Amino acid sequence: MNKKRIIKLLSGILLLPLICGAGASADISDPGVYFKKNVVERKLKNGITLIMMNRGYSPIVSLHIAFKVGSAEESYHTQGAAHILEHMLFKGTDRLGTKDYAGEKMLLDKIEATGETLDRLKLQNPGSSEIPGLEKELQNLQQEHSQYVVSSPYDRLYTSMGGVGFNASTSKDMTGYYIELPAERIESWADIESERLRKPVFREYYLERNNILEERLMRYGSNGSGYLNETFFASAYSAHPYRHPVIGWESSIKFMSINDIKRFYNEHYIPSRMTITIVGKHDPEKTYQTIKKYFENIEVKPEPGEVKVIEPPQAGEKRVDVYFNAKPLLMMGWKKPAAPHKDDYVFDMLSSVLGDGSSSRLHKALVLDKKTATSVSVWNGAPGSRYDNMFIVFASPAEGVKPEQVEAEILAEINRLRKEIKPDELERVRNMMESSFVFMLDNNDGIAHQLSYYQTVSGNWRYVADYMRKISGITPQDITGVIDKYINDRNRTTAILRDSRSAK
Amino acid sequence: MKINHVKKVIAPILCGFFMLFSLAADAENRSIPSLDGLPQVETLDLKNNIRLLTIMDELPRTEIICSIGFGKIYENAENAGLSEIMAKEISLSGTKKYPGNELNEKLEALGGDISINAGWENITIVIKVLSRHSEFAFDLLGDILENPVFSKENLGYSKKLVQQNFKREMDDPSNAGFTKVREIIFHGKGYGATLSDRSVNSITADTLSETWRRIARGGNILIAVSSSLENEKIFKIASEELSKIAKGERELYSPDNAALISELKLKSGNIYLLPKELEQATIITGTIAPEINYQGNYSLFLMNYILGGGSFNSRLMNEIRVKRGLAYSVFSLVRNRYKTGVFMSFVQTRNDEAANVLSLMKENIFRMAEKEVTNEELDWAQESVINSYVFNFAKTSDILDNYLQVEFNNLDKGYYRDYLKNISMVTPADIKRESGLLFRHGIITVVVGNRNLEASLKKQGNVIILE
Repeated sequence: MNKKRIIKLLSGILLLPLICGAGASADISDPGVYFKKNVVERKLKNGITLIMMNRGYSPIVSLHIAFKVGSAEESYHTQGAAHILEHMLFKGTDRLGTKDYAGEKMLLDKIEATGETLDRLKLQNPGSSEIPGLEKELQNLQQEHSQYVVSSPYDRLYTSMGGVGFNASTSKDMTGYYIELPAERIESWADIESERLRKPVFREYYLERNNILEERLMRYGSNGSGYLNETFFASAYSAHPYRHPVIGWESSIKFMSINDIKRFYNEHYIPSRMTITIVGKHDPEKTYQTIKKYFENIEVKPEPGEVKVIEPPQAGEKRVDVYFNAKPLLMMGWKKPAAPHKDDYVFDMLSSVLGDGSSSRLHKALVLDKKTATSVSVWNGAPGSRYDNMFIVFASPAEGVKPEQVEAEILAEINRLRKEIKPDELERVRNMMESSFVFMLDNNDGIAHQLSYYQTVSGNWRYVADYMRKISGITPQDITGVIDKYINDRNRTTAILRDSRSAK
Repeated sequence: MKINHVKKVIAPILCGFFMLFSLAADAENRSIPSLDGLPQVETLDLKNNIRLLTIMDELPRTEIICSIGFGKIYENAENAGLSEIMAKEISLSGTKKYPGNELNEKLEALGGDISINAGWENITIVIKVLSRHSEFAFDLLGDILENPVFSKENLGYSKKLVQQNFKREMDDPSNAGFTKVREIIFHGKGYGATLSDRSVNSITADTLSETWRRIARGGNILIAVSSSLENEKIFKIASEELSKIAKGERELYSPDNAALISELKLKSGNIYLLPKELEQATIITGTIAPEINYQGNYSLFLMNYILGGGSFNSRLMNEIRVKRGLAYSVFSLVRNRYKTGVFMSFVQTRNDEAANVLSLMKENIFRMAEKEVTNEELDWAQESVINSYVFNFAKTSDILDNYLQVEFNNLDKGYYRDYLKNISMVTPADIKRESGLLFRHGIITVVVGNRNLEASLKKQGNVIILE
């Protein structure tokens, strides 16, 4: 799992006289026009969205496939399923990753039956005397099965082709599969990926499930900020699935049924929820024909529907303390609407005024002046963006400073900002957004990530293109307005990680 | 400024790519991506010996990467943290013209961005602005190089921030493990210099000023610029803004590798257990690797690719994660630097499998020196490196970084031109031989995990508890 921090883009009026001359059109007066002029969008008959941009000087392309399905789609039975499924999509098909599928299939069925029985027994009757025997049987079957397997088949193919960055990620909102390849490999990629998505075989399931338990230990069991993050959102959300971690809980992973993973795949990996994004030096029309050839026959399936649970309004502050083998951390956040609600754009501005750069309000006040924190960061739009989300402040208290003191100072700073926002602060933020947009345009993968993300999560990549226009009109009064409306005790969640070593 | 100093050094390199690719395509029938159309790099030596590398880019921005030869690898147990504190102090105290946070405030007001960081071999200042602010960016850089403020008042706080960040980093078992492995292998010097209260306390404002005066000099500074402005314009601005920087010599470091190897031999096979109460053990093994100009590095690069650097099909990943389900993260790496190098392998696994996984790691590492890799493995590794070579030139900053490496490490000017030829000439016997040389002094292991792992780890070697 490789959760990405989404960079919200842009602002202001931009002059980009010569961007990306090799492919993309150069006569741009602002990024909105630039994107709208250079992004080519196509819809395949089965509902797959294809987004392309021809740019750059190197004969390489960044290729992304995204599905609008993440941990938000999971139920209590399937917490962690989206992420496990992502891992299983690396195991091959009935033609790839096997030496003899007919022979292998019989063994896979036996492994599945034994694994399911074992899980059921461990849950229902953990003391059962049958468990050791079944564990041994599963181990023997896996050993026998390994003779049929060609491990990590995609990795072998893609690295041989010169591919880099072959990876995937799962978030609350979406699942993505990525690679960068020499441009001449687009057709090979389309051939491999279309088969990968159509006919996956979930081999080595129980071994991979163990690896994911190790991943969970690495991300949340060995890491203070991971642990705090998980605790924070589990506390902040009472009902909405944003409350459970993308990777799932230890027990939900340990007992995840392979049949639940198959069902999850069948219900959610459907053309209407799929976006293919290709950015780099290529001929979009030719690429479109190639994509049609390989992806258009993926079967159309019914829409699974949206998440029905709506987070009820918060009726008071939620506070949580956790103890961990690490220095203290503070996380505080307030619930708010997600994009494209107007307030979300205002929160983007607020986030930058408070937390972007060394001249931001919180850095200056807490790190430079008062010296009570060693770092402060602000994140608008956590933990996802398809449903109403949160505005978060994350701080590392300086040694000897209580987290509560840092918390009070953050609140005081926000209050000070509410009373007076200087016009040059907004100007600074707009300039920084304008620049960061230009800086981001120097690589295919960054652009592909943005287009793919917004198409998948908000249903329209033009969110990126229109962003500057939307944000340029935000006033100090707008910022005061969202502070008054959302930044209050009743709507707040605060989580503190305390050092278990000093608590002893 | 003399524009006639400008040398077009990209030409021989590009010719090399094309020649090599033609040869490789004929010999192996491999499909090699063309590198036609890469932006050209031009170089200029200013009068004070600052070397300037520029690429004209299409994006309307200027990115300046200023690399000063001095970093953590130049330090020892007595002054560990010096380069990092120096970088932090400039970030906090600013310069004569832009004191304190004014440096950041002025730049950010224009939408610019600056980072000043101490790496292993360099202190790197990166300034990014829209092209229309290029002159200001160079003015800022000039003042940082010439007039940084190292104030006694702020120094205490700079030290505190560096110390506290270090402690937070050490909360992470991976960081703690890597730091401890390097410290043991390199005996607390150079690559192994580890920040302590004592080393930080020894650093004064005078130490910073003297060191900066010595290192921020022409012969020790490389600057790479990617901009939409004409190269000549960049040369002109740079010459004006940087002309007051004094001339000087390259700052070098010279580890006593013979002594380090003797020390390593004495410790070889030891397992150092760093107690931390967690459910997962972090295991790191390591040894000294050759410096960057060593000819056998091509073989070692491919060895590492096959062992643990080449993604899911590497041996460590396949044996530990894919076949046995014992880890999520497992890999190995080789880093060759100007006068030193390090090999390390890394895995995180649950406590009850730690001894078993360490045994698998060692078995696979030492097998590289005992038995030749298969032709199939080597073909895969070579093909992957050759076909992905184009990605080393994907962005203008990548191209400039390659040039900085050539300059800093005194690499042959044809290093990148000949790289694939050298890779494709490596044989299984070369890999076995070079692995034998790499591992002949032995490896040491650090385990970050529960104190009670001691019993099971004893089966793998002499366990020393680090308190």
